[in-house]
Amino acid sequence: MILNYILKLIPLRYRLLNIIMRTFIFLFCSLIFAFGPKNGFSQEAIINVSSKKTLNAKQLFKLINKQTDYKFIYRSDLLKNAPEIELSEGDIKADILLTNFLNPLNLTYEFTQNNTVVVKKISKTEVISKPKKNEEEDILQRIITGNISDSEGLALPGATVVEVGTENGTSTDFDGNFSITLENDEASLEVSFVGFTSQIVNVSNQDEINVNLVAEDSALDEIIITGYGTTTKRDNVSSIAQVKGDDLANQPASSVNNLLQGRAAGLQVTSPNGSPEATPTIRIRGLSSIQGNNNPLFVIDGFIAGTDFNLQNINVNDIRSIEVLKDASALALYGTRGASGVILIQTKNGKNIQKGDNNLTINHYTSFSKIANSPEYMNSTDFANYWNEAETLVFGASGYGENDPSVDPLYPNVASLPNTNWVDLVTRDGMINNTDLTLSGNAEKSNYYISFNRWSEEGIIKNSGMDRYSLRANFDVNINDNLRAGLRFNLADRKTENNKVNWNNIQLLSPPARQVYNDDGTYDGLNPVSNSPERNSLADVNERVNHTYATNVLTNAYLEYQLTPELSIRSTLGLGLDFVKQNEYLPTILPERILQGLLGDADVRTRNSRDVLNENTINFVKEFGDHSLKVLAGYTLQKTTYEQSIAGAYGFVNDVVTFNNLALGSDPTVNSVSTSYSQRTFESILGRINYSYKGKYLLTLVARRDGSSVFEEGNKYAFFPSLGAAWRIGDEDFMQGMDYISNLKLRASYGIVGEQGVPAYNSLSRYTPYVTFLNDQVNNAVLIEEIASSGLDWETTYQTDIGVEIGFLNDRYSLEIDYYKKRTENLLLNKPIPGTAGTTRLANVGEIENSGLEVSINSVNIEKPDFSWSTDLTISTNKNEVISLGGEDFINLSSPGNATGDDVRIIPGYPIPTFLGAEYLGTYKTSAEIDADGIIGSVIGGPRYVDKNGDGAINTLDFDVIGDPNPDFFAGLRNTISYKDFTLDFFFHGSFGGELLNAPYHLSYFARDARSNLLPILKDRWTPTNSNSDIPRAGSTFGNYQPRSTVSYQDGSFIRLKNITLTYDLDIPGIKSSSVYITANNLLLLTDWEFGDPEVSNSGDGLNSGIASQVYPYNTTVALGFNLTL
Amino acid sequence: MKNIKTIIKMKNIKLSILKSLMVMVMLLIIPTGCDKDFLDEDLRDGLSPKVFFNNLNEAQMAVNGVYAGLTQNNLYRNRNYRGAIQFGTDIICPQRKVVQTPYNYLMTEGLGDLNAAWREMYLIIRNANSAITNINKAEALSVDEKNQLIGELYVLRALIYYDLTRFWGDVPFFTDDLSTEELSVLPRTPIETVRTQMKSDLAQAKTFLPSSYTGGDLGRMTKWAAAALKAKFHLFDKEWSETLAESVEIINNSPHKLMDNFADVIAYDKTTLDNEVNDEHILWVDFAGASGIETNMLGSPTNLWIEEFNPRLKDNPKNKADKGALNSALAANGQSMTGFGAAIGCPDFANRANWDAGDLRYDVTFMNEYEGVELRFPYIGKMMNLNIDKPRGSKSENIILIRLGDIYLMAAEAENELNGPTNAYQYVNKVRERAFEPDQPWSGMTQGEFKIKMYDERSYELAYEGHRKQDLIRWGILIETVRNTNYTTHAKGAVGNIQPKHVKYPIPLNEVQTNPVLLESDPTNNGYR
Repeated sequence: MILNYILKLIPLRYRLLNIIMRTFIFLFCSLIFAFGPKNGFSQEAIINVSSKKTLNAKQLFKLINKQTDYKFIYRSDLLKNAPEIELSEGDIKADILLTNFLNPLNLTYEFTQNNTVVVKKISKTEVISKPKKNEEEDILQRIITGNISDSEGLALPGATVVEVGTENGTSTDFDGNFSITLENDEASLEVSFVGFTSQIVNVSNQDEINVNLVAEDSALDEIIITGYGTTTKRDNVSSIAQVKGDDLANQPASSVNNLLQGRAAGLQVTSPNGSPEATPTIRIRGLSSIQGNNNPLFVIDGFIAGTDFNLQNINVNDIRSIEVLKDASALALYGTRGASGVILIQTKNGKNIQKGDNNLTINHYTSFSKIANSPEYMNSTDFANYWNEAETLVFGASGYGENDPSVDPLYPNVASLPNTNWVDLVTRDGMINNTDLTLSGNAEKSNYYISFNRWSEEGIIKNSGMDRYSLRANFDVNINDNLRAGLRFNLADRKTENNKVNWNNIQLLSPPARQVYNDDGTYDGLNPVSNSPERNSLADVNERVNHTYATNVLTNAYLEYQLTPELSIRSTLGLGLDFVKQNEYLPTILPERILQGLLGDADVRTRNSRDVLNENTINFVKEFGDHSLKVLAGYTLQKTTYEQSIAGAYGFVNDVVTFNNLALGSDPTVNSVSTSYSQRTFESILGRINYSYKGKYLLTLVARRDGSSVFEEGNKYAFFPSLGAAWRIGDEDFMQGMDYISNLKLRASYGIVGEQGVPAYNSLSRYTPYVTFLNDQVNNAVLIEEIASSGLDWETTYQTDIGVEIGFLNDRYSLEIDYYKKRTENLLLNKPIPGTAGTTRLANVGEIENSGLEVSINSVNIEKPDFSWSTDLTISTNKNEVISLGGEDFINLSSPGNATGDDVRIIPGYPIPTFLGAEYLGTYKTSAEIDADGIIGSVIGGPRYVDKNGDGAINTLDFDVIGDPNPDFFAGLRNTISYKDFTLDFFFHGSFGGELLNAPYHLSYFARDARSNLLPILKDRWTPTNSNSDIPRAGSTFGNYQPRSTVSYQDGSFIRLKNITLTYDLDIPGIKSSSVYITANNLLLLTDWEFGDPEVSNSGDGLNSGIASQVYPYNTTVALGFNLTL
Repeated sequence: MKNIKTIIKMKNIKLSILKSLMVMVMLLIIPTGCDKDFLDEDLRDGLSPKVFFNNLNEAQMAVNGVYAGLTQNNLYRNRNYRGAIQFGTDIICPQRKVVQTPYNYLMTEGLGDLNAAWREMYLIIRNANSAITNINKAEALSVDEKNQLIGELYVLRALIYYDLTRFWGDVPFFTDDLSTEELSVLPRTPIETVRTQMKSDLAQAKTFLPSSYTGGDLGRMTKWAAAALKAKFHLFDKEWSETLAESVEIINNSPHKLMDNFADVIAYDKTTLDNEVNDEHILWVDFAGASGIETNMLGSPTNLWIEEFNPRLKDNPKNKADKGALNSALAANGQSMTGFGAAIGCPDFANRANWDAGDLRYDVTFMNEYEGVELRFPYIGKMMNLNIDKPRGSKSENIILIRLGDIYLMAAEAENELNGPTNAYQYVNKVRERAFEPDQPWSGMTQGEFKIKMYDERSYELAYEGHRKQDLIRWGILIETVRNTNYTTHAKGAVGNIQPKHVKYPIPLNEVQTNPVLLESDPTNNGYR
């Protein structure tokens, strides 16, 4: 039944119209004439008119029916006012008779099965043909003339008319007219025009061909996935950004979140580091939670996979589209889990393949990677000179600092020192090999998509990488007219070689003056300064064992039943299983362990989680007159359990069995065992009403009632409603004169979304298990460390969104602007509490507000048959502000009393987080300055700060707000240029404004410890002969408190050429399609940032964001690949 | 037409059968979990105090947890904590530019203000209070069992309040299992109130606890640990007769004995730690030396403090020509020098000539040479473990808090304060007996002379055991002593920096900020603002 089709998915608009018409024909006004045939069926049937007569429509059809086998189906209302037809005596072809009768009425007919003729209105696509000429009039060289117009009848100048299979072609004149001389007798013409669907017209025996081209499915008709359903761009009321899977395909990234950067307005993606296991941070419209989760919720093919689902389990090339839900009207459907946005990932199926076809696609690329923007350090000579100078600095007789030659230098023999570049030693050129094998097909009642992927990555740090096999099997089947079922199945098996270097150690504990090997060729494990055992980074990468096996299964099956044409029910059952095993072994050969007399140490950790989701929804769809109504109601249950076990053994005398036989760990007193279990459950009711009037006035009401186990008894349920409305101004009559505006829509939404942000069992006070030693013997012990919270509530976000969508010149240029304001109340925070009570305690405190503007511009700059160029630009701003903290003046985020002061805080009136520090004045140049300031412990050449409160000490009380890491705006710019078979796509991403705390820089500037590397800028430090320098004197900062200050923060703005891809489509006989491509990532970085890469350094999420530290660097990659479809 | 209608009717019947079938199937698919308890929290891997204290083992685990608290990162094992106790005196000096804040009296609010130690001390107090409350209520425990456990907890809690009041004077004080809300707004309680209650708890604990333990219980608080700590409280409060009474009771009635040789006080097998505890030790914190292995230990129960004294090979020997000799001597002894080697004797105190001639304790206390090779600094040989199998970060020496030698000197000091030297000689001379060969007993002093001599005697006997700074403070001579000390280069700042406020620490800035009530009784925060 066609009805099923309507309900199953919202089809393209014109098809919908067509179908609705047919529906009317069948359901409301149809009459069926079922007269038995007398003559055999014939296309060329001749009707004999015995005498001149005048007939009405019904009589005419009866006449034809008598003499032929034609039955007629028609809407009585169409022919109600039809004039009578006069027939003269003689013979006439049936089709001429019918055409002459129907055409003036703007009607036509169509042969269908069973000798039935359906009478219908002339559709806009219908080719109007005149009765053909007599055959004897045909000439060898035929000239065809005609006119090309759009569906409204407006002429299309410049449209192309080409005789199919030849080079023969022409284009239309200013009035849309054309004339073409055919080369072949049996010809067909292909008519095409930018922005319209090409048509192929069989010339047959016509000599005048008029074609109405239909505008291509404009962007407005593209399907957009929403939670629990779909809509179109045209009918959408919410703020939803869509990223097409094709835009992301074949870029060398193991996980799709890496690729979303800059692709959608309002979506901020930062990668914490370049390691294979890194998980980028995704923020949708800023931070809406302090303590709780700020990661978006991932919903994969309808399965709610959670906020920390590892997207490395999903092959990027299997993704069809990604929808980013941003406003309350879209998010309220996800209730307590929606406040940070929702990312819907849809994987491919076989529906887009031609019916009856099966495709086998082979895709492969090989990618080469190099370390990018690597940090640079001083060489060992400069390093040793610095520390020698530092070591000999004393207050001296003057008390203002002097270098005392009687103090032994740290490195007496600078020339003989090794000069080790540890970064070079532990890095290499990386490589990725990715192969996809995809089989997909579309049969009459079912379609399938099966893909197999192999990903093999060698990271740029030695001995790091990932090996992945994944299998996806998707299918949908129509069991009968009313019953549909389908399955989405994904299996991923990964082995990750975890990064074994503590990258921080490279700066902190691997100075150039440290040797790699001892004289006897063994690894050196002693720090030359402290003489204490320390990790050797090269030994780490070569000898340590640390890898993770992960197996993930994600399935979601559905069954859908059409109860009535309007009503359908759907039930899904999803299962997510995750098994992770990490093996870690510290071999006996590690030099720092040899020095400590430690034996081999093995740890095996296994985690498994099981996630079951059942969702049951009822859908009601009805159109009556100008009204259209869609109602969704649902009931869902979800249960997630998480189990972990850790077993560790120590005392391996050799490295033969490693983690594979813990029983050989010979020292039972230091073996460790632990297990844990946690679970969370959800129970929810949800509903949505979409109403539209005349397709111009759209209204969406959404609500979800969520229940969650993590909240206290009596406080387990919360209700999240939202309202969205849109007005398609462009469809109003008064806009019809403005043809250049092809689309204009205004939309607005308001609603409430939640965030639970509470770990399981938080409301219970619990013991932590420990052991204690008495007389060196082990005793079991328990201690209450964490404090139970009480009376916790959901974080509630109230979000307003106003958006406008404009399209110009048939949407050749389109613009979408959204303004939003999110206010989050009942913020959950691990609030620092006095030490008498504990350390922190989870509490609802205060409010924050995020507001911002998102702009997306899409432009087709040039569109010619052989050459096209399009540009997509997204710009997003977000302003984050703490409104209140429940009466607190501020909350410290940095641990109190640390060596740099309380430098990160949450303060009402400022963004989260806010950086603080003292004001750095440069160095002390004279003793008078020191005396004037009265800061104890200062020397000439030492750092000078503003003592704000004048108490003679620089501490946290002298701190002022310096800045925050939130960028003023961030943007993505994509250009796609096609020339003949080449396509070039390049993509810039940039972030502007926002201060980052440059911790490595600070650490070096105020060098504290001779075990740390130093930055080359320190060569320009204050010395008696370079006394104008504002870089502190060597030794003036050593061992002292060094507060964060204005010099510790830097502008983190950057522009990156994120990706550039060149594709060449090949034409190989016998192969459906094929292409080769080259794609490069991260080729160019423009920034003022002084050390490494501001983005890589912009580590951590939420509260820790903007604190740059030493991490595994990004890489630059170049990949070569091909794609073949058989 | 009629036929068609019939067909439609039949279809409808078929449809409704299918519908009900479908609904049934869907109902079957729905997991059976949607019962009323579906949203209940299911705690399976944790224990809550509500379900604890049902038997002796459970109660003991809670008490053990309080012992575990003593080995936390920022307490006894930690350089900042020990620095606050020991640095900035006349006997301990840095040999290079390290930990300048306590050495040079640069501490202020938010900077070297012991905030981590404060938090960890109150963690112990909260846990002790919770355990005391719950053990008192526990029906499954006998009176004897309760007394034993509560006795131990009383001593542990008193030990922490002893430190809290030494560092900060008036501190928040609570002995009940208070709620988080109540604990967050506690004001400072006068030091007298705190100490009075602790002395009373300790008196109670003395009646609850046994004299000694064996095996795996050795190290639990004894009756004599309670008495010794109580004596310390009295000593600091200048309650001389109580100090004397407690000390004499320990001397006369406890099984604790002075070791015959001073060197034996800290002598034990540095590899196996056999005989680490001897008769003279009364109260100590047990470190087991486990490191880097993920056992379920609080912090890491290694003794990091000892690394401050263990020499650093890089700095030695004094004469470069002796390098080979030093290395071979170390190798021959199975020893290494992998410590920080940062804390050495201050020049005057480390000078042999400033000690009484014949004081055997000097050679135990200082290590100026190693196997005949002259070292660069006067290292503290008394507090060292050079065993090559115990490199930096893996030391397991117990930290002795009170030993019998200290008690003898306390008895002598108290007796002298009360009645003059006559009866005090016996206690001090008992300690000096083993310190000199031949004996050099004290005699013929005035009360004042005895008192002054005691200043030095305590530093010779107890050097580097963590008593010196507190002794100087209670004698009221810290500031003048510091101003008159000849420091090494990197501690010279102390002379000019020290001020009267430095006898106490500021309440940590973080505490004052999160609980402003702490400033009510003293807006200057011990003189620091």
